[in-house]
Amino acid sequence: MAAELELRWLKTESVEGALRRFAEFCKEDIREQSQQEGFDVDKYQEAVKLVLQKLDKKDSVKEIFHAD
Amino acid sequence: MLIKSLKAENFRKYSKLEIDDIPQNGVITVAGLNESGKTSIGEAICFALYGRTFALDEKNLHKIIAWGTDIADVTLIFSDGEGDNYIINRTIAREGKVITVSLTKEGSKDVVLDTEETVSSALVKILGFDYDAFANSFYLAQRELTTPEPQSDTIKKMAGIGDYARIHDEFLANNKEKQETIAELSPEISKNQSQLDAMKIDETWLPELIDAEQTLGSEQKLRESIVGNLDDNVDSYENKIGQYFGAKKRRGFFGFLSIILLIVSVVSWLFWVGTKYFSERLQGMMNSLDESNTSLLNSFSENWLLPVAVVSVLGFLISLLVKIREKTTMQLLRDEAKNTAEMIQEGHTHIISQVDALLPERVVQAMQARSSSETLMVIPPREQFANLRQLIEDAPSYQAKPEEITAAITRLSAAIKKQGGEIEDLGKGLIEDINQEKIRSDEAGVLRSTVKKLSGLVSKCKRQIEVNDISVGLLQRAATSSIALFNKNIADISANTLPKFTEGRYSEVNIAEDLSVKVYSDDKKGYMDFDEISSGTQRQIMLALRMAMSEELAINTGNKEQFIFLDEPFAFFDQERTQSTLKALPDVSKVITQVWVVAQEFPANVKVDKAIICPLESAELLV
Repeated sequence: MAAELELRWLKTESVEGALRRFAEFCKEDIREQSQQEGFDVDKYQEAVKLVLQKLDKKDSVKEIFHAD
Repeated sequence: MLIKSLKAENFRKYSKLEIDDIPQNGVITVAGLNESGKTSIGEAICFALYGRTFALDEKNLHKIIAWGTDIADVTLIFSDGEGDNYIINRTIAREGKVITVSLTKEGSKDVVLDTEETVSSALVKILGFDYDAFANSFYLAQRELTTPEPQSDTIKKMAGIGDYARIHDEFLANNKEKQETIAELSPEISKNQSQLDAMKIDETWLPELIDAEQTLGSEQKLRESIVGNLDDNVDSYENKIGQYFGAKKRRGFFGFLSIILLIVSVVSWLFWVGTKYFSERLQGMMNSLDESNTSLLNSFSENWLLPVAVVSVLGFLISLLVKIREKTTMQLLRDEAKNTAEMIQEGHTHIISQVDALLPERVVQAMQARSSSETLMVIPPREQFANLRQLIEDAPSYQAKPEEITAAITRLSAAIKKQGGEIEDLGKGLIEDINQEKIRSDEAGVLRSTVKKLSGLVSKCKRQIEVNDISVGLLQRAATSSIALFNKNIADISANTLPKFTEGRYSEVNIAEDLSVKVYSDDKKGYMDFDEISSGTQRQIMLALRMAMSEELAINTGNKEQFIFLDEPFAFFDQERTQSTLKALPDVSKVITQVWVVAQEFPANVKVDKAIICPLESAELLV
C-alpha cells in the first residue's frame, strides 16, 4: 500500500490555517519518509495526530464559550 | 477578523466615538487634518483588543483618556470570519490601569471573560495572533515601513509555524519526563526481576505436587474402599461355605432321585402302554405266572399303574428343578467366593505396590528427602502372606479353609489400614509443600505482575519518546518547508500586488531567507537591491510586502477574512502613486477584505466603501 494512503484519514480541506499547512506538508512528507529505512507508519501517524491535536485551537475556543 | 463596530467614550480627543455600519468588504477611508483624531481610531481598536496602543505602552496608557475626564471606555465588536461575533470592552482609569475588561460571544452572553489573563488567552485562541503579530501585520502604524525580524515570532506566526516552537518544547519536555520515568522505573524492574529470579520458581512444580497429592488421595480412597469391602466380607466366606456344601449335597441327592424317578416313570409308562394297547400279547407273556400273581398284577395295572407313572413323572420334574436350583445357588456362591478371592488378590496387590510408582520421580525424591527413608511406605514381610496364593486359588471352589480366609482378610485389612496411615502422612506432607509453593507462587505472581506492569509503562514511555522524536523531526521539516513556502507566497502575492501599486514598473520580488528584498525592474530588465530604488517606491514595495505577509498570517491563523489598518501609508507618495495604490487596494487580496486607510485627504475620483472624516474642532464622531 502506498504510504500516502496511510494518511487518507487526514482531510486537508476540513482544517484551516497552520493546521492545514501542516496537514498538506504531512501528505508530501510521508512519501519521502516512507522510503527511509526503519520507517514505522503507525508511529508516524501517531506523531501527525499528536501535532495536529496540539495545533488545533478551535476546540479550545468552543470550550471557553461552552454555553453556546 | 473583521471590525463590525467601534464605540468609545473619553478616548483621546473624543468624548464620544461611534462607528457603525462598517462594510465587511471594501476600503474604509479615515481622513482629516492633523490633530483631527484619525490615528485615535486605530488606537481605539488596538486598545480594545490588547489594552495598549502602538505608541503608548502600559506606563503611558493613561494618556489615552480625554482631558478633563477620569475614565475612558472602548467597545469593539468583531467577527471571526466564520459567523461568530465577539464583543470586547475595556475601561481605563486616570491612574493608567485598565479597570475593567470583558469578552463575550454574541449568543452566549452568560459566559463573560472578565480578567486580563482570560481575555488575552481567549483572544489568541480566537484570532490566532497576539499583539506583536497584530502590530507587525494588520495594524500598520504611522511610521517607517519595515519588515519584521526574520527570526521573530511574528514571522513564524505569519509562516504558520508560530506554535511550532512551543509544541517542539512540549515534546522535548515530555521526552524528559518520560526518560525520568524510565530512569525511575528501571531499577524497580531490575529489583523485582532479581527477586523473582532468586525464587527460582518452576512453573511445573506446583501442578506436579497437586497432581501427586490428588493421586495419593485417590489411592487412599481406593484402599479405604478395599478395606471396606474386605471388612464387609470377612465373615462372608465362612457363612457361605456351609450354604455351598449344603447346596452341593442337595444337588447330588435330587440328581440321584431324578434318575430313579425317571427310570420308574419310563417303566411305568411302558407298562401302562403295554396293558392298554398290547394286553393280549402281555396276557400271553403273563400266562406263565401263577394265578395269584396274575391277579395282583392285573389289579396293580388297573388301579395303580397310571397314578404311579404320573407321580413318578411329576417327581422327576420336581427333582430336576430342585437340582437345577441348587446348581444355580452353587454357581452364585462360587461367584461370591471368587469375588472374595479377587478382593484378597486386589488387597494383596496394593499392599505390595509402592506408591512411588504412582508419583512423578521429582515428587518422590522430594518426599524421600524429607522422610530420609529409601521407600515412602513400609511393605509387610512376604511370609505374612505366604499362603495367600493358595487361598486365592482354592477360595472360588470353597476349598480354602474359612478360618484361613478370615485370618488372611483380617491381616490384609490391617496392613492396608497401616499403609493408609502412611499415605495420609505423605499426603499431609504434600499439602504442606503445596501450600508453601502456593505462597511462593503468589509472591512470584505479584513480582511478575509488578515487573510486567512496570515494563509496560517503560515500553509506553519508550514508544512515546519515539513518537515525540518523530513529531519533533516532523515539526522541523514542516518549519523549513513552511518558511520556504512563506517566502515563495510572499514573493507571489507581492508580484501580483506590486504592478498594481507601481503601475507596472515593478513586477517581481525576490525575497531571501533573511527577508532582504530585491525587485525586478521591468524598465531596467534586471533585479535591483532595495536601497537602489527611490524611497517612495520602497514604501510601495514595503506596503505590498506587508500586505502579503498579513495575508499569509491571516491564512495561517485560520482567518478567512481579515481587516487591515493602514495609518498614513501614503505619507511619501505622490498623488499619482496614492491614486494607483488606493485603486488597487480592494483587489490586492482575497483574504484582506476590509482595508482601513488613514490619510489627510484622498483623491476625489477614487471610489471607497465608507469614508470617515474626522472633525478638527468637534470631540464627537458618530458615523
